[in-house]
Amino acid sequence: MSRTDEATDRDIDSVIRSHIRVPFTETSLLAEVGLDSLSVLRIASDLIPDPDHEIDPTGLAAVRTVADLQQWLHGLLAAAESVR
Amino acid sequence: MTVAPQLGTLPLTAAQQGLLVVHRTVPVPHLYNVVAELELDPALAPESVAAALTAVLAVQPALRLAVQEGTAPHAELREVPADATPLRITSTAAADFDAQRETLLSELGDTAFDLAEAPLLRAVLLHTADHGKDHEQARAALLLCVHHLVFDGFSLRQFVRDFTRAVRGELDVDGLRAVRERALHKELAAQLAAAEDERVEQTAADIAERLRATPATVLYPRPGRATSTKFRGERRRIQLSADRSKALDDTCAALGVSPFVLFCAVYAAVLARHSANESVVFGSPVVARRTLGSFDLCGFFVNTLPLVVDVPWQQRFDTFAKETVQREADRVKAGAAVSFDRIVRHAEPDRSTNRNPLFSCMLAMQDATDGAPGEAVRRVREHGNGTAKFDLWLGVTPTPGGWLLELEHDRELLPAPVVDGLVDSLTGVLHRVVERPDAALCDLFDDASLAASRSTDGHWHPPSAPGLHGWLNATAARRTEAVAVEEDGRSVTYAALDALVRDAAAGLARRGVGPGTVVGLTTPTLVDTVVAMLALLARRAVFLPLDLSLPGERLAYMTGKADCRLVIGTGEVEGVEVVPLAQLAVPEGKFTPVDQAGDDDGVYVMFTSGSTGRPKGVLMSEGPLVNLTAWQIDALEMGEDTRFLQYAPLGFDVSFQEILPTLAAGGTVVSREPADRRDQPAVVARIGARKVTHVYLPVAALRPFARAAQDAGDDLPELRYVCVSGEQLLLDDGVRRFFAERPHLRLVNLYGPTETHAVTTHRLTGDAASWPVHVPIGHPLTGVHAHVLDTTGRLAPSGVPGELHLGGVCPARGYVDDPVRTAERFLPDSRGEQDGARMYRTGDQVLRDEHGALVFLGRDDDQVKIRGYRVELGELETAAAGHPGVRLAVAAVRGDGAQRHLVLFFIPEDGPAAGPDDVRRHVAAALPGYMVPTRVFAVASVPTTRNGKVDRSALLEDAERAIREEADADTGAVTATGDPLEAWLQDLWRQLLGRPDVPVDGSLLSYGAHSLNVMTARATIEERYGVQIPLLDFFRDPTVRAQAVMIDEAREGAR
Repeated sequence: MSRTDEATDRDIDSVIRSHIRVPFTETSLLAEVGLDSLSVLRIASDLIPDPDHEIDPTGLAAVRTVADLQQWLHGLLAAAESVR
Repeated sequence: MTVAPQLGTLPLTAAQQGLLVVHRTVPVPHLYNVVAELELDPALAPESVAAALTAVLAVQPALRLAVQEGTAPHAELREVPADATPLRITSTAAADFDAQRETLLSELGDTAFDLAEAPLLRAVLLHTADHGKDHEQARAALLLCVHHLVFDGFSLRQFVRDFTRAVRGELDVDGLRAVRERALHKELAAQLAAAEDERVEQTAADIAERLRATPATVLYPRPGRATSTKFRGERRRIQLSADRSKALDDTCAALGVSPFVLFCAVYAAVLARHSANESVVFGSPVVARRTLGSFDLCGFFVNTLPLVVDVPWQQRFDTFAKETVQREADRVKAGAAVSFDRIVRHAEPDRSTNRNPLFSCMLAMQDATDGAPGEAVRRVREHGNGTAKFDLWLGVTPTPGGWLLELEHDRELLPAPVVDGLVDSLTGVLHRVVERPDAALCDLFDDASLAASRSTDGHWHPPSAPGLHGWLNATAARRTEAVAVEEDGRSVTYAALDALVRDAAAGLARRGVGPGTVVGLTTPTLVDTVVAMLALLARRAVFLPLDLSLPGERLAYMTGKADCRLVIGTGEVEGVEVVPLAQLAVPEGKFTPVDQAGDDDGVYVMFTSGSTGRPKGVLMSEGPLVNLTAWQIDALEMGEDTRFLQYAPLGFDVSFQEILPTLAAGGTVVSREPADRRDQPAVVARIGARKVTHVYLPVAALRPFARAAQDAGDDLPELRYVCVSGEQLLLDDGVRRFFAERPHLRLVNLYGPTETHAVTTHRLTGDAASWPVHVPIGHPLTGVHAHVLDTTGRLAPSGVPGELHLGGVCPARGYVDDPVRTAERFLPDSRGEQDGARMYRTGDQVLRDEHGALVFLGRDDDQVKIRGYRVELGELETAAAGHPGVRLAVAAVRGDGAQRHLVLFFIPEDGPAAGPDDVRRHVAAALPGYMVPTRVFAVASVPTTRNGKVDRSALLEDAERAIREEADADTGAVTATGDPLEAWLQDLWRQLLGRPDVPVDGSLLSYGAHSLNVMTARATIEERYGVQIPLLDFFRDPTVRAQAVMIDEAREGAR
């Protein structure tokens, strides 16, 4: 894993933690830890400052677990990086 | 007044255009107003609130949009100068604050926005006049009304956030303004680009496919249900407690589903019960925002998508939520880019009403918008404005105190008692899923009130003796010289009748006829019939009416089943001894009377034909018949001057009601003969000549009877009661007029299968002109329990369809010699008052209307359903027959599954005849779209089957042939026209649809027309010809030819 990836993962992790107030693991369902689609979007906008950045709602619908969320955010950030 | 400068043109999203279509179709300009109340910190100075609002407008470009309709609809971004901020500031005394707030909310809610004038927002700041002096009393609220076109469910949060920051002086107006305007442009661009994705079209088609395969979810599906309403609504608030809300949240977490999925599951189950469907459709708004920057914006960025949920009653709730509902929720979220109009295009729904064409119910998970105690905005609440966009809308909002549920309903379609039932189901299910998430879906529900099952009309005349025989004897003793039975050429007094009965009873005794013996009746005269019946009653034997015109094989079957070896009367019945009454009677014979207090072995056997299998012989016992007699004497005001016409064939249980109660009341039974049953003018004449007071007709005879009386100019002055039964009573103007002109006559509708005799009754009162087409079957008779069991197996709440089960005193003993079918239909009544209580399951679908009256919906086994809507062929036929040029109309169903459609055949009247198009138009004006026949055929005659019933199959065969010939002749849709207006329209549509083959008289909907390009066409027509075609009229007849006619008519009218 590159240093950029590590930094990215740390960012992702810390933002997720700041939005979830209960203990969780990677396999926790978002519904179990109190995250709905709006909170996911808020997390995304915390991480990505670019307001023009687009999200595909279809991809968002498939995010069920914390691990899915991490992966999805990773993908978003990578896309954001490549645009810059 | 300064004209606001325009800062730019913006495209409208498909969702916004769709909302414009609704705005044009529905004559309720405030329907799409969002009304919100922000409870403010009362210490805020009004000036700072005003300044904050101005600032918010500056940084929320959507709030500064105006919408231009016309041939190229678009939005315009305007400036709203500080002195033009749409805020009214008003103060009030603390004591009046709440009342004033209500008044102002109501006024704001009624705002009819001119969409071309920005901002599409109004606000009122209400504060206490003495604020500052007494802080405890000080209050302030900012009341808002914004048009939905620029304000979705997510926008209020953004508004409050910006407002709060503005009040704190933290809003960088100049900086943010440009950023936000740019964000709006970007978001719109992203939405429009996403809409072009080819997957959107496929997703829309898939959703439409699912919709087409699912019957419509219709709450309170009563006949005559309005198809267009004024959208007047009411909201019920259900605030769940903090504990209950936490319990629900814990259940969500335990199940691993979001609150959205849980509430969808609950809502789906409730809708399934209340619409009597196993699959339901409801809409839900899905956030369609694509850019991250859009999440700071107010605006309208949702698509409303339908969820189609199958509700298998035996499935456990947890599985249902986690699998079935979760799957559908995921599917819907994935379709966020699909706009409503796309789905409509593919689904091709009925467009003839002003209501949502895809779904009637909606679930909206509202965004949490909490104020906080120390903040500028303390609390946020949304309000209804007395309108309802859907039949039923459920809003679910997380509040600090727990989940807030709001049920908004159309007041005309869902009256209060029906909504009460929905509320009870909703709260009940929410309780139960917390306690028992593993419960089967049907077990989430409870019985509705048992009191409704047991509520009767209370008519009752106490019997003079415990049994029928005793009662008749008591009356006869009182009325010795009065005439009991009158037939042509012969009258028999009670005394004489009594003598004849004794002689006959002696004869029966001599032949060993006693309790339970079944004896057939083929007596040729009324007097003989009555004598025989009463003699058998005296012996506690059972009479079995036999119609000699039936085939011999059938008669043999009946006597065999009933174990009947003796028949009193004339004619021949195979395997049975037939003895004329005169021969049977033993003049002044002596015999041992039968103990009348013995077991109830039955009074009669009457055979009823089921729709499948062989006829069943119903053995009716004495108890129900004593009850019926006691009811009828009071209900129909029977007494010594009653003269009841004996009209029904003896084998119909109605004949009992004509004879026995009359003799128990001391009146006279009058024979119908020599008038033939089918000769209504003769029947009318006989009623007048014999001064009949009561007549009981089959429903099919009512119209001809009324017509005969009208033709004869006969007021029928002695007649008091016209009772009807036998099938669904449908009234037309002819019948209404008949009764309106004879106020001394009462019309009573009765219902009851042979297995229970008559059990419910509905009396038509008041102004005949207002009598409904589809008459209810009404309320149970005294002693009858009417249970309506819905699809969950529970007692159905108000307005919910279910199968009628009849208990209490009315069920017969059972079917003779048929224990299997008896056990199938005569069931234990677990809700009965006594041990061993029984009920008869009718196989009839009914519902209780908002007045508690039972309404017949049809039999389980012959529902006609078109695209999921229950269709009554009789109603279509009645509507068509209402056209003066139609003598007789017959409706039929052609095709299968999703292709099923209605066809109509009619015999034109002599003289100026009606053409098929006239009849079709006439029907389309009177009935809901799904009941309008696709094809109408004029025919010279209507073929009948051997039983004398209409032969619909033969008619359909003729229709098939006609349609095939048409196709072969290749007449198809006309594409050429010489009319200049039609030619112009054709050309316009060629351009809009992008194809050259636009027909003149074919439906444009099949060529790609849909609501959005229809709007463009209308705007172009208005521009060119200065007239408006109402949108609904377009959909009723979507052809170039019809539009040309409408334009011509509108221009004529304008001159």
